[in-house]
Formats: sequence, C-alpha cells, structure tokens
Amino acid sequence: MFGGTVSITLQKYAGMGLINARRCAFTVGALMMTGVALVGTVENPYVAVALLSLAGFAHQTLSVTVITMASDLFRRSEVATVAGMAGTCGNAGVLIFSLLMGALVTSIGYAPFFVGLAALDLLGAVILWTVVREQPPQTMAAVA
Amino acid sequence: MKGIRGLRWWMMGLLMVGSIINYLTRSTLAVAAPTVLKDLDISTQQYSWILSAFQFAIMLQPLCGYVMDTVGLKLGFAIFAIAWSFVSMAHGVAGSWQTLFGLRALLGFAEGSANPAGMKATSEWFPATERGLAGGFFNMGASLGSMLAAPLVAWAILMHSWQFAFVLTGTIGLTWVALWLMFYQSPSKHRALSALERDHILSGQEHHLAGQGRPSIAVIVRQRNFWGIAIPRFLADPTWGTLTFWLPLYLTTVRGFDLKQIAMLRGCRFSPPISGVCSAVRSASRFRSTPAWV
Repeated sequence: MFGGTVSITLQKYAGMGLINARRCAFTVGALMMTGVALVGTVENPYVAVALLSLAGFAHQTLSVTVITMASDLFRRSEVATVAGMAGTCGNAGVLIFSLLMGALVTSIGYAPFFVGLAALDLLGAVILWTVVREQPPQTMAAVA
Repeated sequence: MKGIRGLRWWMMGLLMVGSIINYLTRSTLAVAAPTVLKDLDISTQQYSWILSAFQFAIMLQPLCGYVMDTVGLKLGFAIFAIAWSFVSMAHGVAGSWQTLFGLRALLGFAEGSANPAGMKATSEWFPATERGLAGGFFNMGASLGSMLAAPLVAWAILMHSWQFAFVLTGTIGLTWVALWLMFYQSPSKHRALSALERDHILSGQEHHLAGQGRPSIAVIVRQRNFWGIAIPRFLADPTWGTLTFWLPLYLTTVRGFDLKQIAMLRGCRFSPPISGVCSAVRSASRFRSTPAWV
C-alpha cells in the first residue's frame, strides 16, 4: 500500500511521470532496507527484530512496486507472461541466496548476509534507474 | 436454483482460502525448523538444500497451469491440493534430511498450482476491469497463510510434536479440498450464477484476444525493459526468502528466542497484506489478458 501511495503522491504533487514515481517508490523501499544491514551487529535482540520488521515492510513496498511495473511497461497481452518470468528470476535469486547462506552461515554467521540483502536492493534500484527505459507500448510492439 | 448475488466473489473467496492453506503449508517447515533440525540432526547447509528443492520445484508451475488448463480448474486444483496435503503429512514421518529434500521437491511442485489457479479463476470469473482487484484479493491469501503459520505451528509443536504440526496442516488442506469440490463450479456450469452477473462477466471478457496469439518468450527476453524489472526482482526477492525461511532459525540459534516468542513476533511481520490489493486496484484497468498457465 505504501509503495503505491508513494508513487501516486509523487505523480500528483511533484508532477512526476509514472515510471519515475515507481523508481522513487522502489528507492524509498531500498533506503529503508539499509536498516537490515545492522541486524547482525546490534546488541539488543528486540532492536534486531524491529529492524527485521522494517525490512519486511520495506521489501513489501519495493517488491509490490516492481511487480506492478510489468503492467506499466508491457502490452496487456504480455503482462502476465512478463510477470511470471520476472517471478521466476526472483525464485532463482531466493534459491541461490539460500544455498549461499546454507554453505557459509556456520563459518561467517548471518551478519554479512543481512548486509548483502541491503546492498542487493540498492543495486536493484540502480538497475531500475539505468536499465529501464520509458517508452510507449507502441514502440515495443514495433520491436516485437 | 436462485442466483446468488456477487457469486464470483464467493468463488474467489473459496480460492483465497485455498491460497491461505497453500502458504500455511509451505511455511510450516520454516517455523518448525529450529525443532526439526535439532531433532533430526540436520545442519544448516543441509537445510539450505532442503529449501532449494522446494524453490526449484516451484519454478515448474507452468506445468501445473498446463494440467489445470487441460482437466479444468475444479478437478485440477483439487488434485494438486490433495497432493500437497498428503506430502505435508508425510513430512511427519521423515527421519533424515534426504527424505525432507524429496518431500520438499514434491511439495514445491504441487504448491506451484496456487498461482496459475488464481490467474485462471480470475480470467474465467471476472471482466477485465475487475481482474486487478480480484488478483489482489487472491494474493492476500499468501500473506495471511504465512502469518497464520507461526502461531498454529508453534501451538502444534508445544501441544504435541513437530510431526503433529505437519499432519495438522495436511488435514486442514484435505478439509478445504472437500469444501472446494462441494462448492466450486466453473461459471459456465454454475447454477447459482444469475443471468445478470453472467452478462456482467461476459461483457467484460475480451473476445479479440483469441486471435492475438500467445506472447512470445523469445521476444520478451530480448527487451531491455524485461531485464530492467527481472534483475531487480532477482536481487530483491532473497529478502523475502530470508525472512520466510531463515528467520525462525536465526532468532532461535543466534538471538536466543524460543518458539512462543517467535509465534508472536512473526505475526507482526506481515502487517500490510492489504498492499497487494491497493496496487492491484490501480493497475486494474491495465490487466487485460491473463494466460492461465503463468
């Protein structure tokens, strides 16, 4: 809900385009995710839990945003397929990250992984700003 | 038979409960993990292999979609739900990580049916303009199921054993299948569907899509914008995986929490399940076609 609200607000009051508003919503989520980097190092277990809850909220914000972008960028007849394929990429990410955790968590602990999660989301924001191009669906149809 | 008003939403509700149970079932292991790993002497590395079996098998979900397209949603989804319920119960007799690895692969495959089932029902029961909302409603099941898992599984373990937790979720699944078979029917066969509602659904279905052909995967992967959103998902989704599958283990082994505390804490994490719906409403008009197998 928050991700949607951020992008709607930016469009309404800052006169921002749809895609830029989505990029901003994702970036806000990624910035909130930086808190999770500290989970492994804070002393108090309840602070750790609070940071993890924040991470859950931040992730919800940015993941809903990027899922919705499939419908912003692709033709209606392709949206579900694109969303499914992007979902498969997400699954692959979970798979690889889980295997890395399993292999390394006993030797290096959880802390580096929490830092990694925060860093990966910032990288994701960079990709959204640099790789995604705003173009009308007609152009894409021509490419297709 | 007299028509039931808003029947499509009742059908979607039935499906959403199925989705709740689907996510409850897949989350059972994560909540039980601290107990199971200790009991069966499974290392965290072996646990990651078990998780990856599920994660790998669930990628085969287009195959589930294909089966349901072929035999129909009612029968198809029932078969998969029966399968995942029994596989969940079988976790209860597992004695080694290898058995769990095999069971998780089977569970992942059977549970991959939820997503295409939701898509298929959405496209059959709803006019294009309502599909975003219907899809968001269905997706709430995922959050609710994961949220319910913590207290329910913790309760089962404290009352009896971790084995009981798996048998319990399996039993809940089978109960739901009975309800599904009793009450679900496709719109073309449903006798309680009023003429008015049938018109409403049919008038919003797009007839032109039949001639438009299937989207081409080869064309999609060549587009810059596809990678522009696929790579961020690849990078971001590990957060979800970590919070879902690793958190109970982390909190018990590193932070010294016990099962009861986790049961209470985990509930807070998924506080915004409504977000799916809100964004769905906004993109509602944009969702036109929903190939059932995605």
